Amino acid sequence: MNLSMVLFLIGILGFILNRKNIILMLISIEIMLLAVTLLIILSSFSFDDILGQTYGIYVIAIAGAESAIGLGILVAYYRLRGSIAIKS
Amino acid sequence: MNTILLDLLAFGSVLSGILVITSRNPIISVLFLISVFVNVSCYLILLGINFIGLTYLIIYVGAVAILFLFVVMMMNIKLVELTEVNQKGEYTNTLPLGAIVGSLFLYELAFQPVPSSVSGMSSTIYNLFDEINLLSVNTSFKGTAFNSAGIEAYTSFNNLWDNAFTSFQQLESVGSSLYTVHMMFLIIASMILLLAMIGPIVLTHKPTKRLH
Repeated sequence: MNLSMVLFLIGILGFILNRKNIILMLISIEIMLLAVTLLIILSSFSFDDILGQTYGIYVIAIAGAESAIGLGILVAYYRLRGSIAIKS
Repeated sequence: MNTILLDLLAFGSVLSGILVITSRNPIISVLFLISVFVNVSCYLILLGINFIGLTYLIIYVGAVAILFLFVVMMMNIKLVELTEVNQKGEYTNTLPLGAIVGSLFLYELAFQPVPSSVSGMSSTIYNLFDEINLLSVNTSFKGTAFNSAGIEAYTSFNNLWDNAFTSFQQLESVGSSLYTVHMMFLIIASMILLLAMIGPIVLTHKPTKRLH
């Protein structure tokens, strides 16, 4: 539990402290999703339950979809603006 | 030996995570993100959760991190634009919010107001959930002749469900629950993946101008 909490803390601090670099914000979202999935899987493993791993597969698939859509939006934004700074 | 390796992998993943959010160059931070994923997947494989660990390696390292690397390298951002970001007082503006959130998480870690394992939890919570389940079964079968049969069905179904998994391998049991009981969620996940395939194509497609 401690490992996933620390990883989630790292992700959320990276999301808060780097307000202007949007690539780092997407990477922080990935780290937070990793931490949450790790917590679900480790808890279900300690309960000797299989449904947590099933749920983990869903979270992994949706994280892949989220990163693909986020990077697509980022590329479209970069084409429109010419830069990826959030506040100019 | 095993616990030392687990501690080492956990420490490596936390260290790589800190290096992800503190490095200036986004390419370096994506490379450390790959290091985080490799560490976590080795942690899971060493614990005995093989399939999810290998899935992490395949999907995150093979697909998501490479996608990030492609986008970072394709956009060809000048490094000056990224390094001058944190030096103009923007960093100190968000520092109190980070301190608040960080102290909340450290309180959670240090004092553990929520029990993190089964042994720390009192048995009344289990009994409460069992009572709620029995109550819902009773109310759903109320007024019919199945009132006692409902409880019977509930308990025997649970026993069957438990027995069906004891002779399975891990991957077999994951697949068995994925393709039979939770089939609807699999279809919804496939819809979401289809959306994730079509959405970036529509977003980044540049339509060519036609002359009439």
